[in-house]
Amino acid sequence: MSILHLFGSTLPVFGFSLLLGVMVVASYTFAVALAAGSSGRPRTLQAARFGAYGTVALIAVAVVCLAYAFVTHDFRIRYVAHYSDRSMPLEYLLTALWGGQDGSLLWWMFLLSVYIGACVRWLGNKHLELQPYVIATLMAIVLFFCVLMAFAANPFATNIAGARADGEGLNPLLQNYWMVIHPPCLYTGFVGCSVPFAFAVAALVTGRLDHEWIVASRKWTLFAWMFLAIGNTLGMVWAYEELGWGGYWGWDPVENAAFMPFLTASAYVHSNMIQERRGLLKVWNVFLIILTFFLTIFGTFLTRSGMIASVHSFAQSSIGTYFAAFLLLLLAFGTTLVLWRWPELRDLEPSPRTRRAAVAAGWIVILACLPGLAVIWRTPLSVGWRVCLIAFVAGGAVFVALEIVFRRMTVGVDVKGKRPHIESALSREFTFLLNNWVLLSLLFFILIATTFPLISEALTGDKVTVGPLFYKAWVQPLGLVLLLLMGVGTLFGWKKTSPDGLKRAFRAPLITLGIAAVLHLVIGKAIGFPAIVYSEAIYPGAIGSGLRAFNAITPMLGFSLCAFNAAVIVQEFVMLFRSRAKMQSDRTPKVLWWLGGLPGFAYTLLSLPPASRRRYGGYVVHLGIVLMFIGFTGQSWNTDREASLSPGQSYQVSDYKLTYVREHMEVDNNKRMLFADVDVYKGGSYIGRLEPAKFIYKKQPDSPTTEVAIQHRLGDDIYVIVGSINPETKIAAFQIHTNPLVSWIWIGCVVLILGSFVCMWPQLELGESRVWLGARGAAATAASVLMGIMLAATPAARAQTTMPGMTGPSVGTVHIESDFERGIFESLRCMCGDCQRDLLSTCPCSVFAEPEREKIRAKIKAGETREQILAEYTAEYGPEAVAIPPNTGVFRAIWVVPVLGIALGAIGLGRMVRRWRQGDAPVAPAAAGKPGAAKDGPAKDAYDTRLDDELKDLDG
Amino acid sequence: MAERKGKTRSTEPVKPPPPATPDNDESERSLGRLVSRGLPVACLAGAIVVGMVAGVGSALLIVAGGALLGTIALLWASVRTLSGDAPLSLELEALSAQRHGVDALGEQKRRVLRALKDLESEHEVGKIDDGDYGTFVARYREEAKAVMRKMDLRVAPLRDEAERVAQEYLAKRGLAPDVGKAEKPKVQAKAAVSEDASPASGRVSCATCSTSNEPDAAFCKKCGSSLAAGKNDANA
Repeated sequence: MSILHLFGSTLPVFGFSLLLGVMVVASYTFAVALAAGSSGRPRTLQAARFGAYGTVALIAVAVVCLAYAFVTHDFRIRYVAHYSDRSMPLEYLLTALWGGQDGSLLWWMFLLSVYIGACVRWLGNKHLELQPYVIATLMAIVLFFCVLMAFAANPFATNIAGARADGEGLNPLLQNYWMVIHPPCLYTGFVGCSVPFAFAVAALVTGRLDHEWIVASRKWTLFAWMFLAIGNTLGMVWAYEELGWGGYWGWDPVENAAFMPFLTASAYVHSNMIQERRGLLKVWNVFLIILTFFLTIFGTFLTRSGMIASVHSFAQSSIGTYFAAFLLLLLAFGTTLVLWRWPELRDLEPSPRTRRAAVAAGWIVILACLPGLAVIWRTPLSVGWRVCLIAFVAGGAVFVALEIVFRRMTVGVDVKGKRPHIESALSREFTFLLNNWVLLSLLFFILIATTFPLISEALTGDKVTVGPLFYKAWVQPLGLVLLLLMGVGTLFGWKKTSPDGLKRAFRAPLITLGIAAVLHLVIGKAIGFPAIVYSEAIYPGAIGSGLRAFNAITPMLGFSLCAFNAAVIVQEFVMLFRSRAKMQSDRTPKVLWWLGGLPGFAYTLLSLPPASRRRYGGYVVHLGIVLMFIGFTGQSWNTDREASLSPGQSYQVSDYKLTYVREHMEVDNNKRMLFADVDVYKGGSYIGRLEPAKFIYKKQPDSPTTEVAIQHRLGDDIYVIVGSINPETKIAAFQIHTNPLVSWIWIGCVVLILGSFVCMWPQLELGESRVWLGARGAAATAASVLMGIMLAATPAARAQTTMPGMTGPSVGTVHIESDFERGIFESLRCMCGDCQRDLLSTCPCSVFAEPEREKIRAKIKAGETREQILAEYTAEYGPEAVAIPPNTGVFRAIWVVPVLGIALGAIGLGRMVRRWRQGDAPVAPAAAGKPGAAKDGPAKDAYDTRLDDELKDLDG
Repeated sequence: MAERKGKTRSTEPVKPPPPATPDNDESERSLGRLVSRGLPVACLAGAIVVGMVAGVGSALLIVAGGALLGTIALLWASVRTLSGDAPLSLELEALSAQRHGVDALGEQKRRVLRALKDLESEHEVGKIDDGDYGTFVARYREEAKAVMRKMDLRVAPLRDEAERVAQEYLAKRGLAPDVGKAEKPKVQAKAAVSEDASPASGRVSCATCSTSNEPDAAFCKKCGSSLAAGKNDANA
């Protein structure tokens, strides 16, 4: 007992020393792993592996200790006191582990350690040459987090004022069940990007840049990618179900930060296939993986350092500096490594001379450029000129450096024959390149827009705000191009697609596209989904009206492109089954087909040879994305209504009739719950009862919280919020949103997960029976599904009984009278100073937003135009107050820079493809010049047979 | 357990460590396995029992304690492995000799084979027409054969070297006393090498699906049907 007592009394110290211990152990492992890498002794490697396991175990001890502190309410620890109180149930106590900044860093490290354990175990005796450096890289990341926690964000730090009697409790916004599962999922994706990164670094360090590291890290990448998708979707679900503003994606910096690595990871998932098949794009793949990892850290940095205002406001602290240092280190390290391996990456004969040339040229450019750029920055030119000059000088320097390096390397080397080549631009290789280009364009655009407040502040001293309306207007075109390419790319085959085959392949999907578009135009309006929806232009002038015109036809484009994609995918599967029938290679038990088709389909997919399985699994993932796009398209047809009803009254919104039946009150220990019961009818038939509510907490009687009630349907969701209920007259003010097709986003995500599982299904290993393979895959799937259900169900049960997902006081109801008014409110930011980034359309505060809205209403009544109102608001509160960056002067950079970048990317892509096509030329005569090969006639036959045998042994 | 055993050894430097006999190694390996499996199980079971009796907090303490013990054991194992005291696992020992650099030719061959396979599947689903398919397949087959030829050329001197070493060894053992006899197997071996590459190398094709199988195969590697019948035919 005395030992326990001792332990208890020194828990904060013990926890902190555990962190230091992790630092020591990780350093040891790092050193041993490096030694193993350079010596190549398996004994040293084994020691490093044990060390890695030891680090994992020690991190687990630290996490369990923090959990213990939460469970025993050890309020001496600042973090525990800040994020929990005595009344919280066990689930939320454990949720608090990642509820705040310090703890979420520890949680991040813990997830990383789980990955390390799994990865080291999985590596086993495989990839012996890469292994040491994989371990070393992962340890270096652990070290970073240790340093961060030890010096800047110690979760075991004690209160200066000593232990408190009770904690402050977790933010009610975080106390709901989506919040319990959303961050771990997203972190799982974020942290998962470390493993492919470690493999890429190992490949660069060892120079084994062939397909080995790509194959080795393939499943890890897919896994991380899948969790990024799940995490982002769960974030949307959380926003939709809990925040009560009727939408799911607000283009908040934190959301963007989580979305950006997903884009680069998606690009990599496609481009690595080209390296596997062609040996091309080696630099690109390494770059993409490093960028993905960089973005996971960068996103955290952006939001945690408090540099950009976000609704996910974490307390500002000094950790931003650490993150910045780590990012710089990462950049320097990555650049040097890539330059060092430049010869191998470009398939040149490596020599110390070329290596030195590459690294030196790279660094000289960087170091020489920086002072020059600083000088330019200080010149008295106007901002625009300075920016242009800097871009010009930096771009020129990079070009010259690359040119010099490449020249030096290729002196006296015959590159002509070695140059990589592709047979045709009508090939999957090329469409994958296009896909990479669009994904990276999208990334570039979002990156610039997200960091634009910082950029504009540096350039002009004015911080601007980039709101959802801006993103909506600009991102839609890029998203639709991506959707189009997704379908088109699928129709091409590897190497070359014959024009006839192409015509055949395009016929059915194009017909579908046409039919969908025409149908939409003709009957869309009649069934409530008009093909063309106009919204307010975000800018005055040509650009504004151009964007407006494009956004107006987005619904039709989106819908018909979804139809196109669906047709493409169906056609691919038809072709697969037809060819299998022709080859008579279909051995799916007939029974499975009789069971409704789906089991047979799944069995066929899973029993395909690995390469095909990944391909068709990818098509299932595409199907999921198409479904999600259908959901996104639905956004154009959202309707928002306001109604004040007394009991018994009805309100008609599109096809639905909502009848306010009565209000009723329930009381529990810490709150009163005021419900407004609403019956929903469609075309006269009863659909269900919705019970939106106001919760009045005893602790905060002045700020009642709002409970959303949603009727989920495949066609549209009915989303009802009750604004206020008059206690005497019982008149209730409702906000009624109908959100068409939202459910398809969630369905699409499930399909996406299933598709990912098809891709990741285990391979048949040597000496393994098919049954065992099936069992392994099924067990893995079942375990994940079970885990998901448990994860979802435990807090859900609790949430329904005692904690109906609360929403914070920041979320209330805003009364909006017309769509015109909404358009204006959505472009203006609330400047009350309490809310981080809310718009006038969502901020319920009575200090600033409410009077401002009244003022604007008066102006609308007086007949002022949108532009006038915006201009007056800007004049009063500065450019920061408008959520759309003004389309003037330097602020134009927000779209000019990305558009230029995208155009440059397109030019670069064109040049590259032309070069590759030229590379193809010298091979053709070699194939034609057969006489040389025919000379050794008998050998040819022998090799032919061997080739056939090896081809048969190769999986499909 | 593992750590205690090690500690006593390190605190008594006077006594020379016992020689690492295979017996000792084996017992240490089994101890390692025991700890690696037993500790988590014991720790979890303890945590569950304590959790039922004394609450979640104490259960977490048990888990933390178990993980800490595991850390110590693992680090001890790491240090002992590094210092060379602990035996390596058998597979790793076997693998310690194998380290190969980047095999550019092998990589190229793999890529060309992949290309041929891709072409085959694209042709099957009808994305590429017969004409293009023929051209590309011919081109890639040519490339593949060139690579294979290069690989064979590279291996040839090594093969001769192996041959020579084997002969020397046999001669030393007196198993191949006269030169004439020694010459004979060499020729045979060479024949076997070239035969292996030739179509008539005794490979058995399956009667059901006509897949080519290794000469000693009893069942077809593709469809699994017995090859006994086919073999008899071939022998006849």
